[in-house]
Amino acid sequence: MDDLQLGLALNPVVHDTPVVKVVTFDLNHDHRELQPVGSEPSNYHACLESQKYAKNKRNSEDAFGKTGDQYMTQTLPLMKLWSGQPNEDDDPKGQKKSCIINKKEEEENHVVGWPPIKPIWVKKQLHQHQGGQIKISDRTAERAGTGPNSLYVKVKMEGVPIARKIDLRLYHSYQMLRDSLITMFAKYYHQQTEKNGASCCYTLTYQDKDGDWLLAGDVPWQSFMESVQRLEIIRNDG
Amino acid sequence: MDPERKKVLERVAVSTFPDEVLERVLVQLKSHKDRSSVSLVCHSWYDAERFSRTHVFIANCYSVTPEIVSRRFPNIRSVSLKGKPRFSDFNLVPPKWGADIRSWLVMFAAKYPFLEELRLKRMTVTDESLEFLALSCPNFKGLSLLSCDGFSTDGLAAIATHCKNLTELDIQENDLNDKSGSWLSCFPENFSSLEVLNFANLSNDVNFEALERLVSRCKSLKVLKVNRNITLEQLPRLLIHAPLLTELGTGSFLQEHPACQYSELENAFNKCMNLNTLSGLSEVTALSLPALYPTCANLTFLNLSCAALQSGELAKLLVHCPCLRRLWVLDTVEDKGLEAVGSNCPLLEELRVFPTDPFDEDTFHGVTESGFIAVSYGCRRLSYVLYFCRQMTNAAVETIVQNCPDFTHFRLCIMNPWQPDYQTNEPMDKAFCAVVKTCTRLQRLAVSGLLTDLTFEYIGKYAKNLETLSVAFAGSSDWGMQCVLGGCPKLRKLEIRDCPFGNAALLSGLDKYESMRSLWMSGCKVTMNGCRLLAKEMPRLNVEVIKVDGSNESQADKVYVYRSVAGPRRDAPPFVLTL
Repeated sequence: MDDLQLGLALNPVVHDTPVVKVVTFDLNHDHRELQPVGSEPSNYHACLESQKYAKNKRNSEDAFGKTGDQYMTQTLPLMKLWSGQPNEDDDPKGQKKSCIINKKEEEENHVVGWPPIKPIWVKKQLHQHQGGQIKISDRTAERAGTGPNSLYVKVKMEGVPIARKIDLRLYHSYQMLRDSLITMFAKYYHQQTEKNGASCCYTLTYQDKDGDWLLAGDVPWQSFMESVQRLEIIRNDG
Repeated sequence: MDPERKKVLERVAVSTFPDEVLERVLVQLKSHKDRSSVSLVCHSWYDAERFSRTHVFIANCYSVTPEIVSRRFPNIRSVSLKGKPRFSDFNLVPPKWGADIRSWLVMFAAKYPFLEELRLKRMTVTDESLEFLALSCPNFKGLSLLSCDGFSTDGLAAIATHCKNLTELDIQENDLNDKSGSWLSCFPENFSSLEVLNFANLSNDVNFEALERLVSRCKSLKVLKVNRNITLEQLPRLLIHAPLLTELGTGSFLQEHPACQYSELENAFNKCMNLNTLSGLSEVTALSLPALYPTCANLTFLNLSCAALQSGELAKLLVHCPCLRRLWVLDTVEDKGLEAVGSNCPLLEELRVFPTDPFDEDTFHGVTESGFIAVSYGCRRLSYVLYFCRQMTNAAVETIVQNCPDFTHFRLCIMNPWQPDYQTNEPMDKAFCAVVKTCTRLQRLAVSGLLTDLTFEYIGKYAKNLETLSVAFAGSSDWGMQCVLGGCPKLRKLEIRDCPFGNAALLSGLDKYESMRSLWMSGCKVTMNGCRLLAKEMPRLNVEVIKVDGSNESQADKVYVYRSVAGPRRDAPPFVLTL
C-alpha cells in the first residue's frame, strides 16, 4: 500500500517537549524517510489562511440526486428543514471562526425529535464521549484526577465529506496516531491525488479546549490528550 | 336427549354455578386480555370478573375516567397507567400537555385506600402527588415511574419517608429535577422491606453509608440498580450484603486502584451467582471488565447501553455469556462486535443497538448492515430488534429475515431521513416488504429510509398481526396510509411523522379508529377541516390538534386521535384543541 504524505511539524519553540521529527512519506518509496523540517507559527497560520475550509457537509443533491427526481420533489421542502444550514463553501477569511464549531450549534441543526432517541440517552452519551472533558465535580475525595476512559475525537480530512471518529485512548504517541490515520484515510488520499493531479502533502492539526487550531506535535502527548477536541488533516497546497 | 330439555339443563347449570366459586377461579386469571374476554360472556361472568380483578392496566389515561374505573372494579390493588403519546419521548409534544396523575390519585385515596402498586409511563407526576399517594395509601408497596416528568427528588423523599411497607422503588428514564441525593437517607433506620431499588436515572450522590446500611437491612433485595456516582470501589461493599440479587445495575466501572480493588471485586462477583440481569457499567475498561466474567454464566439480559465497549472487549465478554437472551449495546462495538454476538449467543432473542452520536451525520461510525447480517446468521431465534444505523440495503434485510423469520418486533432506524439503499440507490421498499411477508408473527414495526407507497401496500396486505406501526419521513401519497388502514386487522397504534399523508388518508380510517388505541400524525398534510370532519363523523373518538406557534391557521400540525368513553378532555391546555 502506498503511503500518505503526512507531516507533523516541528515547533522550534520548545518547553520540555520531546523533539518530534517530521516524517514525510514519499509516495514513490516503500520506506519512510525522515526529514527534519523546521516551521514557525507564522508559516502555519499562512498555511491555514491559504486553505479553503469547505464545510463539506453532504448536501441534498449529493446524497439523493441519484435516486431520481420523482422521490425528491415533494420531500424537498421538508429536507431543507432537515439539513439545516445551506451548504456552501465557507468564506475563507472567516476560517478560524468557522472551525470553531461548538457542539451545541451542531445539535441545533437537526430535526426535532430525530433520530428517535430519548434526551436522557443523549445525556448518557455526552458523559462518555466529550472529547477531553471530564465531569469530576461529583466524585468523592478518594478518586484522584480521573482521566477520561474513552476519548473519542472526530478526524476530518480536507476534501473528504465523511469524517471518522477515533479513540485516542488507543494511542500512546503521535507516531501511533499518525500510522492509524494513514491507514484510515489512505483511500481518500488516492481520490484526492486523482482529482488534483499532483501528489499532496498533508498536515495534522487539532483544536484545543480553548477552541484554537494548532499543529499536532507541539506539545507532549499527554498534554495533547488532555486538550484535544478534534483533529483535521489539511492539505499543504503549494 | 330432547333438545329443549338439553337447553334448559344447560341454562340451569350456568346460573346455579356459585359466584364465589367463579370468582375464586377468575382470580387466577392475570392476563387483561383474557379478563376482557371473560367479562363479555354474560352478566354474571362480567360481575364475577370485576369483583375478582386486582390489577387494572389503562393504556391511555384519557380513554376512561377514574370514576368509571372505580365503579367497575372495586377491589383493585395495582394500577398501571400510560399517559402521553409515545412521540412525547422525542420532544414532539409540548410541555404541560397533560396526563397528570393527580385526578387518579384522588380517586385512589377514596376508593382504593389499600392500593399497593402503581406503575406509570409518560405521566406527569408532581412532588405533591407523590406525597399525597404516600400518605393516602398506608399499604403502598410498589412504585414504578418510567419516562415521567414533573417531580423532583423531594417526591422520592416523601415516598421513602412514609411508605413503611415499600418493596419496590423503580425510577427509570424520567425527566425529573434531581435536587440532591438525600432522599435515600429518608428511609427509616428500621425499614427493611425493599426488594427492588432502581435509581440509575439519578445524577446526584446519595449518602453511600446510608445506602450500604439500607442494602444490608433489606434481606430480600433482588434488584439493585445504582447510579453512576457509585464507584467500583464501593460496589463490593454493596454486593456482599445482597447475595440474593438477580438484577444488578452497577455504577461507574472505572478502575482507580488496579491491584487491591480487583480481588475484592472478583470476590464480590463470585458471590453473586444468581444474577440474570446486568446493567450500568459506565466507564468500563478492558481492565475492569474481566471481574465480571464469573458472574456471567447465567446472565440472560446484559444491558451495555451505558458502556462504550469496543468490539474486542465485547467479544471477550460474550464468550462468558452463553445463555444470553437479551442484549443492549452501543454502536461503539461496531460490526465486528456484532459478529461476536452472532458467534457467541445462539439463544439471543432480543438485540438493541443504540447510537452514540445520533446527531452527527457526517462521521462514519457505528454499525452497518454487515453487523446485523452477522447477528442474523448466528442468532436464529432473534425476535426483537432495535437497530440504529446510517446505511442499509434491501438485500441485507432480505437475508436477515430469511435467517430470522420469527421477528415479533422489528424496529429499524436508518438515521438519515429518506436514505435509499446505499448500494443500489433504490428505495428501501423491498426490505420492509420482505419483513412483513416473511415474519408472519410481526407485532411491532418501525420503518425508515427512503420508502414509497409500495411499502405500505405490502404492510397493509401482509402484516396480519401488526399492532404497532411507526412511520417517519416515508411514503409518496395518501394511498400509502390508506393501504395500512385498509389492511392490518390488528392495528392498535399508528404513529406517523413528516409523511405526505393528508385528509383523504386520515378519513379513510373512519371505520378503523374505534378499534385502535390511538393515531398520531405530525408534520403531515392534514388540515383542520379534515380533523373537524373526522370528529363530526366519529363522536366516540377524541380528535385533538396540538397547535404549534407560528403555523398556518388551517393546517393541523399535530393530530392525536384516540377512542374514549370519557368524552373530551376537561384538562386540555390552551394549545390542545379538541374538535
